[in-house]
Amino acid sequence: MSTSTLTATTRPTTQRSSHVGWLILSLLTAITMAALMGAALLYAKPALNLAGDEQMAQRIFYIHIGSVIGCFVAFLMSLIGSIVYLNKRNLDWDRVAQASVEIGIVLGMSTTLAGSIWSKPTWNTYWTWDPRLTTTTITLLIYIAYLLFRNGIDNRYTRARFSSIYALFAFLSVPLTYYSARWFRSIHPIVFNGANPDAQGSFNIGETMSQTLWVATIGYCLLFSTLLIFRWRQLRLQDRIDALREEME
Amino acid sequence: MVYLTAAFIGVWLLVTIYVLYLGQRQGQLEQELRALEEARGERGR
Repeated sequence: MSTSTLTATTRPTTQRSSHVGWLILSLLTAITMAALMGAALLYAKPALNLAGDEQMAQRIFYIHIGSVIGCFVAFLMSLIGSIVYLNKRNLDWDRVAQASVEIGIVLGMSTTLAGSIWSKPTWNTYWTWDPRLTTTTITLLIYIAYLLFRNGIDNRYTRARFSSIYALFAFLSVPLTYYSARWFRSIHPIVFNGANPDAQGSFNIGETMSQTLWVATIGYCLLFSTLLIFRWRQLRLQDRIDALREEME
Repeated sequence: MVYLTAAFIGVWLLVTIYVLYLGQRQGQLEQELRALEEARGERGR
């Protein structure tokens, strides 16, 4: 096993500056997420075509869309990490893929939870086996299986190779989920690039809504980046410990 | 209002649980690394 790829190089100055960089990123994330909460709850104007509980629940849209964008970026990053790993065989990229999948699952679950709560006042049910909801569930299960699959392989390099190949195929479920509401009969609203005549609970986006949506997009991308860097470093530390343990045996 | 509150709490709860898990794992790993380095140092003497 190549120790150079497993252990972190000791560069105190670089490490300190990257730690400061991460702290600044965390602070930026916290500020943007706080701004998102304020914008989603207070700044964005209510949807005029809705009323009562449905109008209030429409504000869930901002965290729902933010989470789904963060989730998409995470799964896309896992695909990039896997492709680069297969080309370069550098374990750092496998760590990027693993960390991205974990965060993608958390954000995907957030998306599902927020959507499910929104659907109660809008569709009068928390859950329905609509094509969009079904494909989202399948995507999440595929990525959960990725993590379980990884845990079943002991050799670090074999694990990285097989996981990378798995992640390439797993990503196919992401565009399928995105297009499911367009290709199949779905009651899920289509927010970007198109309209769904069967959708129940659709809404037009005004100026304040659009601005809030941008804050949500930036906030969730920052949240993903902050968590990714932290988890990536943690996985690196884990490998360093494993290498030390092997060295001592 | 109930749905809105529930959704915001639920979403933040999920993120918080993951962050707490990461924090706890980090603590464990740092402790493990210290113990291993100490053991290696003792062996080297």
